[in-house]
Amino acid sequence: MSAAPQNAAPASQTASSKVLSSPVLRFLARRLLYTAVVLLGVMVVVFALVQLVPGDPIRIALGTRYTPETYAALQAASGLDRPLPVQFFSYIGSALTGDLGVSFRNGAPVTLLLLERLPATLTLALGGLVVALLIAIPLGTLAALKEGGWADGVVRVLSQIGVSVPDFWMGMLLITLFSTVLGWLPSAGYTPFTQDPAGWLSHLLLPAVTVGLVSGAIMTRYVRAAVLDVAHAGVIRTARSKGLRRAVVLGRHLGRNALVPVLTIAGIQLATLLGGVIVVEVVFAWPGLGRMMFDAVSSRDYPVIQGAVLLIAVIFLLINLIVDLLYAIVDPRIRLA
Amino acid sequence: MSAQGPVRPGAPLLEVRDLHVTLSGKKIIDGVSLSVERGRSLGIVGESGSGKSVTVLSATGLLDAPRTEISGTAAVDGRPVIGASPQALRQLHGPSVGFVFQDPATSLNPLLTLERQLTEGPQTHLGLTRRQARSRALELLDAVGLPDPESRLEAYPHQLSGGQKQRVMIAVALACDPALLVADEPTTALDVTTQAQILQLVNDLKRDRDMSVVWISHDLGVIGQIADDVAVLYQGQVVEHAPVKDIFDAPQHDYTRTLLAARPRLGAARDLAAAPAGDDAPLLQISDMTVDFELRTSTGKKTVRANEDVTLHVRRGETLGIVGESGSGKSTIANVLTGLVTPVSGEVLLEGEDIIGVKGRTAREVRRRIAMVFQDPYAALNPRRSVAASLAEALGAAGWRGSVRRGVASRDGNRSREGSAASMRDRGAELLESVNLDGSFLDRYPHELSGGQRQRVCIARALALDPEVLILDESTASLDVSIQSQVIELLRRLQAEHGFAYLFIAHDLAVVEQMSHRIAVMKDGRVVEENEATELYRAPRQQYTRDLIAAIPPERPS
Amino acid sequence: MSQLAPGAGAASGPAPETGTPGSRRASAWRLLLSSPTGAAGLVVLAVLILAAVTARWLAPYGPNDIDVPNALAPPSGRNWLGTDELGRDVFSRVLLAAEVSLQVALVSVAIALVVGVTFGVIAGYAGGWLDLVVMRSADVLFAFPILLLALAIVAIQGPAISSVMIAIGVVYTPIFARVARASTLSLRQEPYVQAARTMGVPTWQILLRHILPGISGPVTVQTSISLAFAILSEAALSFLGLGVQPPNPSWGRMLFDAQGFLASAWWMAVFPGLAILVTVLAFNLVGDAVRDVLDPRQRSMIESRRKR
Repeated sequence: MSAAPQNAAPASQTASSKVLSSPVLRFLARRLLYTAVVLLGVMVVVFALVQLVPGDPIRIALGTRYTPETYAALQAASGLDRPLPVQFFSYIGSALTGDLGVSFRNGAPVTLLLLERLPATLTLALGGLVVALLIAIPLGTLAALKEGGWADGVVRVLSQIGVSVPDFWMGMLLITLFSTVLGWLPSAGYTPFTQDPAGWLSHLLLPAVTVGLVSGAIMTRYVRAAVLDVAHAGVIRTARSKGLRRAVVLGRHLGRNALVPVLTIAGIQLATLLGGVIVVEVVFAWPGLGRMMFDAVSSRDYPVIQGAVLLIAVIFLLINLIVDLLYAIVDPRIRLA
Repeated sequence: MSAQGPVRPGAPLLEVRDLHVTLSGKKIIDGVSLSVERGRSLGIVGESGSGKSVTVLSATGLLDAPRTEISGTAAVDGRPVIGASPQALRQLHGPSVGFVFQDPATSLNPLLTLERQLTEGPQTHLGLTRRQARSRALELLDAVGLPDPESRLEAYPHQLSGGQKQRVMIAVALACDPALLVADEPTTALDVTTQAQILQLVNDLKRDRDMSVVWISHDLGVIGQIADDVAVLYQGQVVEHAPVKDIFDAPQHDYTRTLLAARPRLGAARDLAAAPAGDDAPLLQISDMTVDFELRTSTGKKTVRANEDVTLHVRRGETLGIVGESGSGKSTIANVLTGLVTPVSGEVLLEGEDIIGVKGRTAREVRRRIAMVFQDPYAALNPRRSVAASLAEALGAAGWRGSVRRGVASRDGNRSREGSAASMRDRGAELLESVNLDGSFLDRYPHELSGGQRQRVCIARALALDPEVLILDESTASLDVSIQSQVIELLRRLQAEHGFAYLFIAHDLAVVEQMSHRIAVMKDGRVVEENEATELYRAPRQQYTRDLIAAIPPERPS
Repeated sequence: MSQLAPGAGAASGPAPETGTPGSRRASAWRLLLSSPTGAAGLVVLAVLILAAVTARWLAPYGPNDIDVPNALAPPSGRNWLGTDELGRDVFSRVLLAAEVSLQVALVSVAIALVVGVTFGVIAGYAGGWLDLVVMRSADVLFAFPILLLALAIVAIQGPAISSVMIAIGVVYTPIFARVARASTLSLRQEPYVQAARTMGVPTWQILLRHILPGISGPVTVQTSISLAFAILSEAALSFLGLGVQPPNPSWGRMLFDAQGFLASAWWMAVFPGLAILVTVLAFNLVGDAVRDVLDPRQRSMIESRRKR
């Protein structure tokens, strides 16, 4: 690659970090540092959750009937008897090594419980994202290209309705129609793909469509905005001034430029879906993290609540990092800054 | 002239008859007729909103806006444009007409290499293979004078400077060897020296390729350098269409005469009050000032030196012009003087007192004594606040108490330079009068004012501070030329009346010459030359100054 | 549930410069009403709020009047929207739940608005380390999906209306902080704010005269959208049994109860769901219409924060 000429920018420029010569590396290093800072904050919040419980969390968790022995055992296992700073640093330390404590309810390691449930939630979130993208990209693009026309109006109203529908209600209606009335699809449950791919798909379809419809409605608006932004930019006028075929103008010029913002929102949506499918998991008896979180809240199983919240936040940060990386690949302004 | 017909030899390359364009129900073009002969160039000149771009874009089939109604006829090379199918227009764009737009930064696709942007046209229209298109791209980059074209093919737009981007854009426009090049304000976003280079380039290309050019500009000076014929557009109509010499030598229409007369040009009558005697102590003295600022980018921060060892001074009643191209650091000086930026070293003395880092009451006093008029009058007034409220804010900052809307106000007790019982509203009306606006403007809102009126209000607001130094940061640059000269006139009068010291910051040397007693030329954060205005133009000492002066469009076409 | 990143969202086209900003206030209502969807949203909201306020007088039955012999009755003249498994009148319960829902939404969004805007404006105007701390804290809260964090907060506080309000308030605070900060940052670069600074106008006056009025547009949009999402969040929490507690009726809880009767009593599931949909849609439509009325440049405002 050719060396970038100095722009007509001001005088002498001194790069603050000369260690990392590649712009991509520098960009990623910055994002990594940022992620680490936010991760620390996330851990502080998660740690604070239990400290903020009014009263004694163990007593609340155990309810009214327990022996001093069980109490003492749980207290020792959870470390809640130690001074606060010690607890904090040991929590951070353990969390970083993957130890999230044990469940108040059955003494099982929280990490293990979470990892058991993660595949189901990932499946549902990814399935939902696929549905959402299938809805959002064509509809959003259509609406933007026909800006102000009737198709745009219809898409805008539909997406408004989609955004406003409670997802669990949508799930209930879909169950009523496709399961209770038509009997085409199972109303609840989960089959791992490795056991029975057909069963996996039939179980996945309804919940994935449920979350995908709502998420797709949101994304449609972002896709429309992104395409509009590019469509009105000089880039598209230049492409048209070359007399290029419409498909080339739309694909090579409009599509690629609109992809960058759409990537961001897709990343955010995926992360949101991971933590946002709790209610849908409850409706469809989907054995994922959300369902586990719901059970843990009911039984005041604080370590599990903490663990689930932390895991999902970490995944959110990871997805954001991946989006940043994709950014750097798509956009030469970052790659070759 | 005959009606439309098949291609005739000798027919105009671009012919527009009775063009009407309505955008979203608003009439923009009202019966425009134009023609461009083969191998000649047409300059289309007019102020903002006159419909220059819309005329040309609709006549070449590139206008793309919702709710557009076009009537009339337009033909390129004898082929009709208005009402033509998208396919027919695609055949036209590229091989018959090439386009260059105003802002090269937003015209090129940031995600594609230059090679891709240069080859896609020829591959589509000329049936070239990728390899052939690549060697054509190399020729094009060479033709537009981009150094080292081989390595540039892989580059992306953001790696080029503004002038280089515009060269690439010209290469893109020429890629399919069009008979007509349409250039829509192609140098407006560029510095003057770059503008001169681009003008030279297009003139050379036009000659070498026997190409026609339609050049749109608000600047008659630029038009004079590029056009064989000129069409003057005013409110959607062509008021004059004549060879360039006739336009300059014998303008027929009043509007053309106004444009010519208002045009800032070198050596125009300077009606400056005599500069104060040379032995006066400077009112404002900047010494060895160095300013850094941090620039955030997606990949990190970097420190940029905006000013280096700047030393300048200005006396009462004197205008110091500061010229330089974008990024030369001239606005940074204004930011330091108004306290928005703190220098890393050096000192700034106002009547011998250092004003850097002052706080509290002293700071307020310094802000009052050094006032500023901003470049863009559309942005410098809060759209939600009336003229009265904007003036009241300034009066309040200068120590007046009370409301402009009603009631009596008095000036702060410990400062009694003026009668203390005048109401703020009266004072506001007085200020407006001093900028030639009557008191009824007090209750207006910015959107009800024209650009020139807004700038007058901004000047009145600066006067409300009762300042000693006025910083004029490109204060006339965003005004149409006819308004520009009126505002310059006003500023001169105010200086004569009040003895203000002006710091006149601008990129336009002709405007600076009209205003300034002394001029400092800045480049890359440094003052490269400083001299009496007349001396500087007569005998520039630095090459850079000579380049800047040479880049000023000559008074009339050669 | 979804996290709307501030600023983006449905954009209006590059409308030719219609009303210049100054005329914005005078004609904002007229413009808002001239958009069919915005007008519809406003009318529906007015009716909803009126119904919610007068619910206790309008409702033909008490929300907990049990009438077992009349259980699971379909909609009729006697029970307009039918009855549930205990014979309670669905119409009365939907109506009374509106009051609770709107109350929760208003209080929680008010918390988020006041706290978020305060921090956002301070961070955006002051810049420096203060900005860094505030925005990193917002980023930390953003890392938790909204419903998840709300659920965790309710889990700690114990299920009660007050915990729901606090939980929803907390999770929406960073959004307001971001919107307020982004608008403040771009306003701070506006020449008219710079002009005030160069004249030595005190900071508090600049904040009051220029910044707060200037950010009111984007904040209004965000408020409307947040009210919509707050209602959805409350419904979801109540559905999970962690929101509004009996004896207060709530749309979410009614839907939860309806799950067992999807085939036999469709009205139990349809009407509370419709109530949520209509309310949320109305807030969203109003928010969208306000966004359209505002300067279309607002869209790019958030991106234009980079300095020269």
